[in-house]
Amino acid sequence: MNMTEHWLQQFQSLDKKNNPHSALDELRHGAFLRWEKAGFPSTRHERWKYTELMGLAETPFQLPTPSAVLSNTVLQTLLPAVIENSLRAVFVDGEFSTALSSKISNNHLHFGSLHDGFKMFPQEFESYLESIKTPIDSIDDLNTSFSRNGALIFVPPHVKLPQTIHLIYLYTRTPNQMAHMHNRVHLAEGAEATIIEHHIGHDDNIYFSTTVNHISLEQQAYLNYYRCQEQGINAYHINRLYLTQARASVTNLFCLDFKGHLVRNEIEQRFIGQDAECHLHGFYLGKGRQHVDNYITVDHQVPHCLSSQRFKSVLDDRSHSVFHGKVKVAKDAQKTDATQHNANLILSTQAQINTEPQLEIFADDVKCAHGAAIGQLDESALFYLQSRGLDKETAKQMLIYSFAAEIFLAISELEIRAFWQAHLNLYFSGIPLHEELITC
Amino acid sequence: MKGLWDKTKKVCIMLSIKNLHAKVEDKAILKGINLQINAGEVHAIMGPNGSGKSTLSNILAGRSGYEITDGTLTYLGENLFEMEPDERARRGIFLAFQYPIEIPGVNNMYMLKAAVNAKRKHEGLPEVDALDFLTIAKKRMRELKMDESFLSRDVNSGFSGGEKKRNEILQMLLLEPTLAILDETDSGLDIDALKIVADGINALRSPERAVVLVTHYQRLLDYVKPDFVHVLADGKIVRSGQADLALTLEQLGYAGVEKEAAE
Repeated sequence: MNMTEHWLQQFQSLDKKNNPHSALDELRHGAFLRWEKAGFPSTRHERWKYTELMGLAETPFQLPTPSAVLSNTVLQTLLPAVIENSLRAVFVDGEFSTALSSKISNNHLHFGSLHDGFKMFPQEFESYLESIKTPIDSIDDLNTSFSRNGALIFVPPHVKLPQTIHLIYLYTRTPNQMAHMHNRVHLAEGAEATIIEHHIGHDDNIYFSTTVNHISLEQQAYLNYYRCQEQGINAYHINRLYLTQARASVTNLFCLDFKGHLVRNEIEQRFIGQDAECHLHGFYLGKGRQHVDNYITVDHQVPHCLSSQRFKSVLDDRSHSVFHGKVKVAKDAQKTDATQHNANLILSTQAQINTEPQLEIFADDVKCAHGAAIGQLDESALFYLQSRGLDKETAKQMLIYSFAAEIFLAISELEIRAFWQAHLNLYFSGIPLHEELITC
Repeated sequence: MKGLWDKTKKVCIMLSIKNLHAKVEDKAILKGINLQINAGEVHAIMGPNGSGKSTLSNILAGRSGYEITDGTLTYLGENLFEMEPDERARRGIFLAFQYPIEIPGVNNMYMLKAAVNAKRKHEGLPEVDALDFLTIAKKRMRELKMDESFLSRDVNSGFSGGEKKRNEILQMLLLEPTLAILDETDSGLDIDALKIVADGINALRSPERAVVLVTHYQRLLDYVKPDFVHVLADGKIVRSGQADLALTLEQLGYAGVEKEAAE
């Protein structure tokens, strides 16, 4: 069977489970046809210049079969620590797991089948259909064709979600498996939420996942969003996040990448109302042959908005980091304040970085700054720590930690900051920096 | 104490610098330094900018980037050139930096506790636990009139110049070095801070330790009385004397003393 037949077979296996007459299925069929024709984007595609997906195109990925699901013991070892006052929604290979998730009694939330979800929120269905009609590229079509599950979070006006939503996506050990999720978040006027999107997988086999998130904030809504990836070392993951912000809304978004084989994170942000703020932060720790690509567009279509991008990476071995951050400022978007910074710490001569901070400005009264830095550990700082008696390796780890810490210190929610710092520590040669901070 | 006894003077030689020559990027900075420091002594090394004071301090602590072209450096009977900076520190050498480095994200107390424990481990002592360490640290901080908020702050991060210098002294008091080298610790301090820093240095003085004060001005020496004063000029010690030499320097200036030495 060639790859075209393979994909068709996968799509048809899914198709049988669905109602063939809905408007949605028509759109999904359209998306699949486009996907079939286009396949994975190549590096000739400007958006994919530094990220090669050939490895993906050659692998016959399969949708999971229920029998392939891992034992509970293995799943338990993959699950992260519980964050205080959080509601966890666990997906295993793309399917929602009631057994592993918190009991959900909040009627603004739905996890699992999108089909069931839109029965709960029929008013949101139109905007879902609308959003999948205009793909950026074939990745959107792939996700639309295959995603049947996800999280729906629709917060009504002036409601603050009382708990942190911890979305946990676990990936099993079955070889060549794939999973595709679609999440939607809508915060109505003055609504507030904290959401964690957390991807965790096993190291043993190759697998592939895509997640498309559509997030919209109405005026004065406030969102803290954490997207963290601890995929297996052979995992392919493509994550796309569409974010639309109305007047005076605020987003603080953190992209934390600790693992994965080939990871692509996209953020397509758009300001559609004045006085809004969007703060994007990212940290990537690269080892082995890992490749992480952050592709970001911040679009100031209206005046008086504030945006910041601050991304850092620490690269060891033959790891590769790509940062593409674009700020667009439309002709009428006067008084825009946009900053963009990408700093990289290189620990190995074999590591590679491509960084492209870009500004596209059509307004004349704006404040925009961008910059990129690539460097090694500061020799004088290393000497300072060594001169206090710390051996070179410990001193190095402290300095790398310090470099990374800036991103983590920007997390204003203290419990969540502690949770991620504890994560960061796991990746640092057993130096329990964070626990020590608590004791002292 | 392990070291070399000088039988004629009945003292323990802590540090012996002989004919030390050093270059930075082909530029000769130290041109034959000879100096012996014994346990219990406080030496002040004074000199104009560019005379090689900081280079000497850095070489003693083991900073890289200097090419040693001649001479020997012996600390407690052992060749210092064969030791990495961290080993020197664990064996009791401490350098208070002229410009302490900021390390955001790494807690000051955590770094210090790790440093103290690295030294204790080297000495075959059990590690000090967090609570005991905190008690000692708080006591020292009170002596240095440092606010308790320093406990939760990151290493020098966002500290003012004076706070950084005080933090260096705090580190010194907690690490209890055998040989403390203070590189222009007095610069940038107001008079109150200077007194506090001086008290910290005086608290460390003991028959088992030695202190090297590298300074530009005589000011600090009003509060920490040195046993010996050396004038460093153009990479050499041009004059050595007792505490009153610092006063002569104050009156004649470096140029005057150099001239006098030349005569």
